[in-house]
Amino acid sequence: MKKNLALLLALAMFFTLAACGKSAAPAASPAAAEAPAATEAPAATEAPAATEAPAAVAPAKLMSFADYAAAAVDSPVNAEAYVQAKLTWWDNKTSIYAADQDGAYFLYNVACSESDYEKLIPGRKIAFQGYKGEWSGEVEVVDGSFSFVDGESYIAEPLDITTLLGTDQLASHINQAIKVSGAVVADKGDGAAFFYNFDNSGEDGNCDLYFDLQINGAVYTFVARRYLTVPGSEAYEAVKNLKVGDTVDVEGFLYWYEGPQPHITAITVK
Amino acid sequence: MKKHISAVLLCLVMLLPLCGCHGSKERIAFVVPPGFDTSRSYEISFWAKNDTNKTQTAIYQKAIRDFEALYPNIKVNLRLYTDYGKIYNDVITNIATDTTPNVCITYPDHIATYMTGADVVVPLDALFADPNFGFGGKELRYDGPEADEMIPEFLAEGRIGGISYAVPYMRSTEACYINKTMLEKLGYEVPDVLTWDFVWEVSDLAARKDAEGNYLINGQKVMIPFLYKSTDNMMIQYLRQKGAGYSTPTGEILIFNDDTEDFLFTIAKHVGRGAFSTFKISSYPANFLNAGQCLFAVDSTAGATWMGSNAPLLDIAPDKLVSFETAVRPVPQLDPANPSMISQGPSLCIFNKEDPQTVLASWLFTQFLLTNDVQIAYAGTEGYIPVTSKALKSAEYQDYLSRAGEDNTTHYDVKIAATKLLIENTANTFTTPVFNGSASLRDAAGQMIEEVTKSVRRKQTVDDASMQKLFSNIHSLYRLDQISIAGAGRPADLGPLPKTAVVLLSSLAAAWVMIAVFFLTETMRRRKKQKSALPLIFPKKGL
Repeated sequence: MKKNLALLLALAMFFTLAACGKSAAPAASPAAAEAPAATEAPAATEAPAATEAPAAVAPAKLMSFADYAAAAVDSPVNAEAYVQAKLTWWDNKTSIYAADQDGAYFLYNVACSESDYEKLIPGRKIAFQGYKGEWSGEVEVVDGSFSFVDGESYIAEPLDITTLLGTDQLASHINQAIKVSGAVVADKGDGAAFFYNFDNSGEDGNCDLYFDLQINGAVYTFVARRYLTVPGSEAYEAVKNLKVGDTVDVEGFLYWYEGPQPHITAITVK
Repeated sequence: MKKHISAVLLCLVMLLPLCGCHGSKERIAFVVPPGFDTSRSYEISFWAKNDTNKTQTAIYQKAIRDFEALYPNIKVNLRLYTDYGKIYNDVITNIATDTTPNVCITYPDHIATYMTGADVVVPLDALFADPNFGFGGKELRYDGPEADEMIPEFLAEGRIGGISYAVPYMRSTEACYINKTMLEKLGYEVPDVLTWDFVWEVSDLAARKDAEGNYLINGQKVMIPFLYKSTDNMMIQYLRQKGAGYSTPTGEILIFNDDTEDFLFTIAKHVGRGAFSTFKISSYPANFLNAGQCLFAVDSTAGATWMGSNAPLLDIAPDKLVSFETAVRPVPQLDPANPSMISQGPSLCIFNKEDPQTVLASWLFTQFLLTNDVQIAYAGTEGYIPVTSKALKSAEYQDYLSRAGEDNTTHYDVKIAATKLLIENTANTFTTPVFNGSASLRDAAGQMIEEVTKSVRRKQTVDDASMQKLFSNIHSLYRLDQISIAGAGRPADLGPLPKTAVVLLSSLAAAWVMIAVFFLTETMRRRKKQKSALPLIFPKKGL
């Protein structure tokens, strides 16, 4: 009797301890997967929070870049192009710079599974649908989706915009891969070569880096966007090592925020 | 005797694992320690939000330096964010790995989600009331607010399920920033209180174009007469003013109602006339307002430094800036005699840690952020107001308010007008119920406006059928059907027990039954023995 009781107690102890071994992490709530929209003051140059939208009603006809460029804002988009670069992935969305031989697109927060994200290799052809949008001057495809298209690949040669900066022609090259050569790093303020965030309100590793380049006698702002050139990447870290007066060559994409604001992918100090 | 000891030991052995199982908690609930151990060093992390405003960053950094000078054994590591949503996402991620910050800026809506984990967020009532370290505590090394110096309306916003989990840090509301010059050009005066009807009427007028597509009011190709930053607030405030359903305090979803539908149809009508758009679709209201491309720009009072021709913060090229006079009014109302507007702004919460001394160090820092130096300095960076009457009534703060317009930086008149708007309307502010899922409901409220606006712009049909489909899609997308009406912080129904748990509990029950049988048997056997021995021990009565 006593032996049986002891055995039963030992078993009970074993099961009890085993059950207690796993600590309870909080269950993911419905809200946990969603990034709530900001409800406070303007965060300058921050894109709006991700939103979901009904599937785009694409026009039956495949659009050329010329069709896309001529289409009014809020028009449906149905086009094909080649991936040039991708931003970071989050909550089944990413943003993509895409281009063909005629022009470039920016697919903002396009629906994308994590497995498809891995397949978004520069040069790969994609078909995409969505709507044409314009946000502070940036022309983009919003509320979109994409699929892969078999076939040849294409990487656009960066367009040298050194002489186009400050001209009306620049806007027609929005979202294209670009380069600038022989630019001089200007004083961003207090002798700083760059700012964490546009006004130096940020901190290392947690924000975009803003720096000014003097080109043809005028000053233009360039950005190392943390979702494109992540902290720790060669380009992001190179910006942190800039000094006022450095002469640099940069490459990137012609993003627009109330004017040209290239997002860089590479920077070389001469 | 040996048997008795064995039995007691067995019982203790049985009890120990049962104690361990109680709730399977990640950590022990926080209890305020009797004193603060200054012989040890502490390192705490503070995740803060700034409005992309370097002055705010500088104030946080100074506050940390000042605090560390008072408490040299506490080191505070600052991590900056510019978005509440990003803090929320990072906290959720870090709860799973038990690497939450010690202190973080947050919204009560978010805390309700954090609380799905047991003892993750520290209840603050005992800390508030602690005679040594609470409000006005006698062992504090700084002059913090007394309990009755906390603005009660703001303090109440941090109570979830009757318990305080957040302490207010700053408060703001929304304001309508008006291009007064443009309004007068249209033949109107700025009313003391805007009504929805007035705003829609004037916005429709301002959306008229000439034959070449230029807007009559500004001669430009771009004009968004009425532009709203936070459409979730737009919907929430309208429903509140209307007395319509949004949610019950315990989380029953009421937002899908006829009043919501009517409001969405009204918005759709004016979008169709080119009178309305949103931040998510178009961009920051300030950019359009300052370029003379917007008449009514609704944004937080904490965005006031971006608003107006003389705004200290500008995001548009100087050649796009136009000169105009800015008026600041409460958001549009249904009943001007009884205005109603949202109360918002950052709050602070403390995350529980194994070491209660570390939690106490976190509280000491949290409370330091309520001292006058921090409150007055931070409130002055935007259209915020301090959360303590100690700061509000201080000579320094009153002097700040009285100097509106002296300069376009510290005393920028639009910013101080926005601040005064909230001070004068504190009694007219409200907050929405907080429960696990309330953050999703808030997002859903705004998304309905976004979707209707986009639909009209994209020339899609907006009718009864599309509205019902929208309700259904939003309900599903934001998983509003999964919100339990259990009240914040209460554990959800976890369903039937798994088989292993049933086996475990049955084994325990069987063991206890066996123990009971064993003791009963033993007791009866002993009593039998004692009965037979009685005459030898006790003499009969009367003998």
